[in-house]
Amino acid sequence: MADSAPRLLVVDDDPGMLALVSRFAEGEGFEVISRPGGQSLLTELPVLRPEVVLLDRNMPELGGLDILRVIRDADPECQVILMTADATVESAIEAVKLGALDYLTKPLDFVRLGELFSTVRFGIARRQRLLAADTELAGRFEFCGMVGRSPVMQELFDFIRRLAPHARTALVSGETGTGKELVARALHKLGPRRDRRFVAFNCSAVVETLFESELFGHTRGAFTGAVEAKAGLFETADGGTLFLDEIGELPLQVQAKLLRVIEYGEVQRVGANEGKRVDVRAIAATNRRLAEEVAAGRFRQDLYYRLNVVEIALAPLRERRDDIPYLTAAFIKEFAKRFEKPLAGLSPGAERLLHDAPWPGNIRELRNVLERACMLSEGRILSEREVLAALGGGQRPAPSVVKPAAADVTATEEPELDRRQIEQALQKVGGNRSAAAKLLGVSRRALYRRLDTFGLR
Amino acid sequence: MTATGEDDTPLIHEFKNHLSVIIGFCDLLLRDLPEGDPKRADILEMRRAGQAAIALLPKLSERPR
Repeated sequence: MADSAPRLLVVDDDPGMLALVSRFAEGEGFEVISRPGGQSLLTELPVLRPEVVLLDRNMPELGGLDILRVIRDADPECQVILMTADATVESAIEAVKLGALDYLTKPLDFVRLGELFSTVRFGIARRQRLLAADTELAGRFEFCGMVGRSPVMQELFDFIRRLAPHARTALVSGETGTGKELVARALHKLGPRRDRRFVAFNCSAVVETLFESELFGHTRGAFTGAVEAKAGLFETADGGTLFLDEIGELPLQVQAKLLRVIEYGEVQRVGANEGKRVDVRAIAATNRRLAEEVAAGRFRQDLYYRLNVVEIALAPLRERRDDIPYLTAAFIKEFAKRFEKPLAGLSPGAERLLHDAPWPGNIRELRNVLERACMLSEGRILSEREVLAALGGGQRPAPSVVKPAAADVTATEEPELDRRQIEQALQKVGGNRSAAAKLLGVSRRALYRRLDTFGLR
Repeated sequence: MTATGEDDTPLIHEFKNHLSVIIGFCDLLLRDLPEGDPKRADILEMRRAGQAAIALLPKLSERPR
């Protein structure tokens, strides 16, 4: 939050010094926490999450330079000012080399300290303003839930806008996590059918034998288990839009039927003699190269040509990195609100990490990473360390004592998943954990527990 | 180090710390008090004495016992 006071931690073994610095810093608009030092401080640091630390260099149990090292390691964004009663040039150089903002001698020069505080406050405010600006821009570049300032995205939005009123079928292609469903929803929302249903169907989430009855419905007694007659998704979506995700997963014989429904607008329930007219806009999506699937004989050429009359290809995130700051800002805003955290920005290091990550899972992956980082975060500024941890490259926290117990519970409740299964599932869905959990048939929490067990998190 | 081989730097360091607290609070009081306040002169006296004491500290460490 831009209006809350930055947090200052003062560490000195002399209570008089603590009182003095606290008094001054509070007057300068800081929230002040004071500690006498010692080993216990190290465990407390991650909880305190100060933005500035004023450290006495000479303390009996644990010296200021040691604490400085720990802080620089844990949170590179935290500014540390050292103070000492007997400064030497060597010790000052050492402190600055270790990343201290400054090295002050006692008695403290309050004019100098006041200037340092201003520098720190200015830095924090700048980070917050940057994110606020990016959020504002993200809002301006938002289009039906998609955020994109890059030319390719602006062109895409324009294309969708022009297409939406007319297209009867469309093929949306793009890697996993690039927002294919959002494009389909945008086409629906901006088209003449916006008040009718939008039905989404994931072709990879259905058992092969059930495709036909899912899509086209079935009559009572059409097959074993068909106790009641059931309308298929085409009938459900009548008058509206049917979104067929992962169309490449559709078996060949179902592809033939699908083509007929799309071409003639007539759907025949499994077991029925008569067809029924439906008026459905079909939007298909795929993360495969359908042309290659056609060449390999796995996808019908006629269906492919019918679908790709209009093809919308989505760029992977790594090809539009310029959008990452805006996407990031939009997601941080969303998660800060959801988790009720005062997040107002991210550190330059965190920003760099996000910008440079490979993002095989694209925007969905970015979103998941930020969700986790926001969940972990304790401060106002998302730190490099938090983002790194969320990216999975960070140091893992020491295993907590409750883990073995939790693992016992999972063993009885949930199917055993070995590491390979999980890795394969994750790979298949581009790192999206919810999707992987769905694929594996376990709850997301269960999957997370397994990830912890294998150290994959 | 003194002639006796005892390191009395920590003691001098302690002294400087305490004096720094005294001087620091003087500074804070001086920031709060408006120019022309009669108490300022008193506080300045305290501060001056504190500074003088700090200035003496190096000599303390050189003094043979």
